[in-house]
Amino acid sequence: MCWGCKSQHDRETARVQKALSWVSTAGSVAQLWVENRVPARYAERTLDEARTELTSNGEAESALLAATLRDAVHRADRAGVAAPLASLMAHRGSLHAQSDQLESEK
Amino acid sequence: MKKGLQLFLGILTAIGGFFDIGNLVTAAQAGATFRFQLLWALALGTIIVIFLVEMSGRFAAVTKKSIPTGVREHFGVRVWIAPFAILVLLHFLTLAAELGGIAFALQLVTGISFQIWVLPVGVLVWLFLWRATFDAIEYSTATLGLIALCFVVAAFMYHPPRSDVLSGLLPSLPKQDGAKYWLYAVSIIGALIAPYMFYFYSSGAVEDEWDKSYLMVNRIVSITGMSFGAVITAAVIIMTGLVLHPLDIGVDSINQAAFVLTGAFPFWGFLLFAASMGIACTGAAAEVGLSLAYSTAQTFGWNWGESLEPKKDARFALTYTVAIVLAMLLMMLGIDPLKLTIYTMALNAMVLPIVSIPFLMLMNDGRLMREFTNGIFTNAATAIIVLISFVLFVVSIPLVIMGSG
Repeated sequence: MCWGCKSQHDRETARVQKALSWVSTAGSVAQLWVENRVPARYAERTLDEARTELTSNGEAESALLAATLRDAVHRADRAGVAAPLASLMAHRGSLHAQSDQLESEK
Repeated sequence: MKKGLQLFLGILTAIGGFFDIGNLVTAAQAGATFRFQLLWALALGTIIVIFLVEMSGRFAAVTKKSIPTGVREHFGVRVWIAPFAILVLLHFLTLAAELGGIAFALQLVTGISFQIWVLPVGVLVWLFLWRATFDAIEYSTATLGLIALCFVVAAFMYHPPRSDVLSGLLPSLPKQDGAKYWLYAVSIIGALIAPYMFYFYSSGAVEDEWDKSYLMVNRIVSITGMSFGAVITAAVIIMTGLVLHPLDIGVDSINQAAFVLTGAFPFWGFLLFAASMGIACTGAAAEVGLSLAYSTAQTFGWNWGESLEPKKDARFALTYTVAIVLAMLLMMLGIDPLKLTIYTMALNAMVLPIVSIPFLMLMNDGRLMREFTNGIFTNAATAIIVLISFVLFVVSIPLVIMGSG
């Protein structure tokens, strides 16, 4: 066994789970900002972080949606959150299914 | 009356002082990833810390010496110097993580980068240590630290399934992510048994001039205070398990955990999280800074005492000053406070045998402790602690490598 080495399957599972985690984070934070439960600066910073993490995890489309959400928060455009948030949640659904599939193949 | 007040304040201090960046981060990661499954690690760590804190208070009350002084006098500086060096490194990393925690709490509220906050935060912590007396530091941070009870209130409001919580108290094997599961378990225990906790406690007992009449106070404070403190950490596991786990959110960044209270407290939840984190880390930063200065001064036989004016124990004051400056510099480089915390907590677990075994030997020395040496029950528990320490020591390094992958 090689300490610190992971199989291709384990790496892909970890990548999908991390992407799922950041997609969910971006969606939750955007929704909470719309409901006025978190401050805009925190929402912007977290969405920016989500965009970076999603880009590095090869989820370019989700990263773009996180960036769109961040811009909407920056403009204080609550109505502008709805469409990218719905798309992001659709991505969440497919990542969730992918994660379940990878787990079942273990 | 005086003892009653001290008992109350002692329990308050133990509850408020128990919670810090280590507990918050490790509990949040454990709850988000494994729901309630790692509550057993918290329960185990709490039992260990109760024994260690009780013994360190008893040692101070009976011998009127702190642990480093006792170990140095008994074994000599040559034996003590290696554990001491490890202890200094751990204190330093923990101090940096706590300063990072305060700065991150301010980043949450203001949106300004934590790296910018590190400088004013470090200066304020230093001023606090420079100007305040031991009691002022202990009681103010502990009382304010009770704000973290908001996690307990939130957990009650959510009505977590009792059977799931209780089954989490029994050790179980993970269904997935084995390396991460054991890394989090080790880190939870490491956060609880951070050496600064019992070194600070024993030095504080010497500062407060405890004698044998304080043994019962010591026992009650250790058991009650630590148990209630653990309830706050359990509430963090439960809340992240209830809120973040169903959303598949793992805590790779503190930002991902910051909204965990907004369901229970829609308007105040976010601020309560930031305030709990900021205050807990402020108290812990003060305690770690002092514990580092205490241990250094006691190892080299310098004057020490937080209630003395800095000019009367200049080397003691210089030690925490240098430590704070270096810790500030480390955090200004942009090291992620969460990652620093998780590895430092695993290191805490790893070095427990090195720092605890000499102390446990002292607790069994009849010449030193007379009739107050460890009893059969405490020695049996001690043997288990040493065994667990050894296992943690052996498994920590590969876990840190595998769990972080």
